[in-house]
Amino acid sequence: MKKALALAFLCLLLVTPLFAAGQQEAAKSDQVVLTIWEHTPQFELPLRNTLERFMELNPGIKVEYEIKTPDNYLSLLTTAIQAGEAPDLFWHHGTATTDMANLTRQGALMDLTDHIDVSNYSQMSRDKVTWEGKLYQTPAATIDTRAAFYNKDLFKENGWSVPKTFDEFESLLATIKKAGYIPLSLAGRDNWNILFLFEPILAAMHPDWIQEAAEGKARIDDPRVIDAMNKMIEWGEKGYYGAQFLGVDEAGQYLTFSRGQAAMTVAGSWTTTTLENNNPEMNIGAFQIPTKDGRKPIVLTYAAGFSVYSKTQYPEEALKLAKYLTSVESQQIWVDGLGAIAGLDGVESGSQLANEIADANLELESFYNILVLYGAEGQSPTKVWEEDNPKLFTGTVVPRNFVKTLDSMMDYPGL
Amino acid sequence: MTKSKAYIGFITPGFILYSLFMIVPLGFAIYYSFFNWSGMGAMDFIGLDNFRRIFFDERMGGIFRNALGNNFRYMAVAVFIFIPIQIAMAYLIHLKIRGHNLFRLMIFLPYVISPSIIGFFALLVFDPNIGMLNTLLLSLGLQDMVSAWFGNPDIAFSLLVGVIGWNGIGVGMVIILANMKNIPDDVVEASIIDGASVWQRFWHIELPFLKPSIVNVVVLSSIFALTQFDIPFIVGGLNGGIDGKLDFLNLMFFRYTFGDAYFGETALGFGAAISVVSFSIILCISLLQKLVFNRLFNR
Repeated sequence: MKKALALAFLCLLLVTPLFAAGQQEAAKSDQVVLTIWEHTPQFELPLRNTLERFMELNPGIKVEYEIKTPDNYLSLLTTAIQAGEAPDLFWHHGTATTDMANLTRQGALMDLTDHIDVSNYSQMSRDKVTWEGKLYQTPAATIDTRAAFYNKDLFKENGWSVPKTFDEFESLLATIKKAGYIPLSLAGRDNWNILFLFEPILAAMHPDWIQEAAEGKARIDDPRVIDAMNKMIEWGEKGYYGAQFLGVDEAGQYLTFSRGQAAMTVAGSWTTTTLENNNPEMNIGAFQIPTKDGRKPIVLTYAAGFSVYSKTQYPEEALKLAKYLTSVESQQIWVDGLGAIAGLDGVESGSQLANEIADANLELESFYNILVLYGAEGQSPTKVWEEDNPKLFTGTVVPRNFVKTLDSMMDYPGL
Repeated sequence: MTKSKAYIGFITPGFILYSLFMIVPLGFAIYYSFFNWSGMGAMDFIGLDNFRRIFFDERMGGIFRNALGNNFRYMAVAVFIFIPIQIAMAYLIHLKIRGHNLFRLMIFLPYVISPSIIGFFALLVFDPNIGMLNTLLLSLGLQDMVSAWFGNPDIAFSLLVGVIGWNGIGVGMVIILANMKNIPDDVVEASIIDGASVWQRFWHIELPFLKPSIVNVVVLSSIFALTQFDIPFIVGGLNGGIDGKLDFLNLMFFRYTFGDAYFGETALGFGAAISVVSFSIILCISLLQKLVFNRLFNR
């Protein structure tokens, strides 16, 4: 009998932890599980850090993230929405493209207007996530811009200094070339990298055109735009991007700079971490290409955040997450993770380099955004720009005809 | 079920699956091609306007003809240059020349490399600034030969064909080689006894036996050429390389259907029209090849 009791007791001891574990599992299964989609691996680190903090604060909610690739993100999202199986929250371009119009027309986005206060965000930032007066997406505190990154050690070694005017910048390019380095590495076969060079050149040469065009009061086929395009082509002909830059792709552009073959590269502010990781030993600085009269123009685009799927099973929890994503704490985690420039009071920029990028005194709209803003109904000037801008360097497309084609696809409200 | 109707039971599952995954999507693609539709929201019926844009719009027509032309050029290379090379390589291995096993492995090995790795190789080798090729040429004092490679409109297409060939030429070779191994030994031995040279043996005895595999390789190579996507996309980008020299029909389809990396604008209706045109071209060419081969081999 004693033996039987001892055996029963032993069994009880063995089984108790199993029950306990089972109860713990039950507690976990009570958690609400949200899914969130991001469109590029570049944002995985800040997203992961942000979500970890959110889950710490909200133990009842588990958030699983999925990082897609930019090439097929939209097609995946579209298919998921069509099938009624979209994630609870997802990233999209906001009003920067037709995404916002399409998604709201489809009824795929939850109206966040009465749930989230974004009054502390700038107007430009809020415009990116607002459609027909309603808030459909969380704004982002990070500012995307373009900058001239330079190799500080190489500059010091050769006695070069950061230019204060556009003319100084041009003579610096010639000096660097004479010293046997590539002045500005450029991916000549990548239309996006060409855009990110063209915009600062246009901003430095003709900021007045951008200011007028942003209000729909200047045409794309303006001589000032042609002038900036010609300057970009002229630098290519002078070998400032390297003799064979037409064969360079995006990775090649950054690596040419990171390996010390190029003294500078003009790229998006989001490449900061890429450049730093490529060569942690390199001392990198950044500046905005100055205007002729010494102003420092900066081409700004605000990033967009996440929308809540209108058919989410967990609207309350999804809104809680959306609310957290707009908080100063969350934005600081995001900015730190990206090493990005902050565009919200109370949020500090992610690095010294980010502060150097943001050192500017003239904020300007992006050329690409102007194409998006004033593209005529049913026309896609951005597509033509993307397909044809590398052809400017081969002469297949000439600036005068190129801007005429783009202009024919625009509808200017101020003209 | 009577014996004569038993086949229905066997083909029904396959037919259902085939219909579900082939016929139904094709039907949808044809249906969508008559609409202006981004993939979300309202669908505007526009009749044949998408097809009119593809064939007759000044800009789009040019892009389409350039892409299709590249597909055809690549198909010509695959059929008239690659296949003779594949037959020659298969024959040399079949003859068991010295080191034939190593050659077979070396020729087939690139096929197992994924396109993204090939893109990485292309960067390492052909990047004008950091690539090995220009570095080597410069170190040998051959400055005149330094090039932008994939960024040079004069050689980009030939270079791409070379990379695709390096990657996939072993597949056709293996198919032909398998066919060679099935040639009856007695026929070959009889020709040797009769004093046929290696060349005569190949031309008059072995080549006729290879017709089935050659036909298969021609058809597969043609379809492969008309559906090129991954390697041109990786080495030339979504816009089809410099001056559209590396643009192909499938790249054009992807570019317009799904937008692109940064600020995509999807156009599923227009993309569906491109896919219908592409499908029709492949179907016509496959039928034409079937007709030609039937005439040639059933005389």
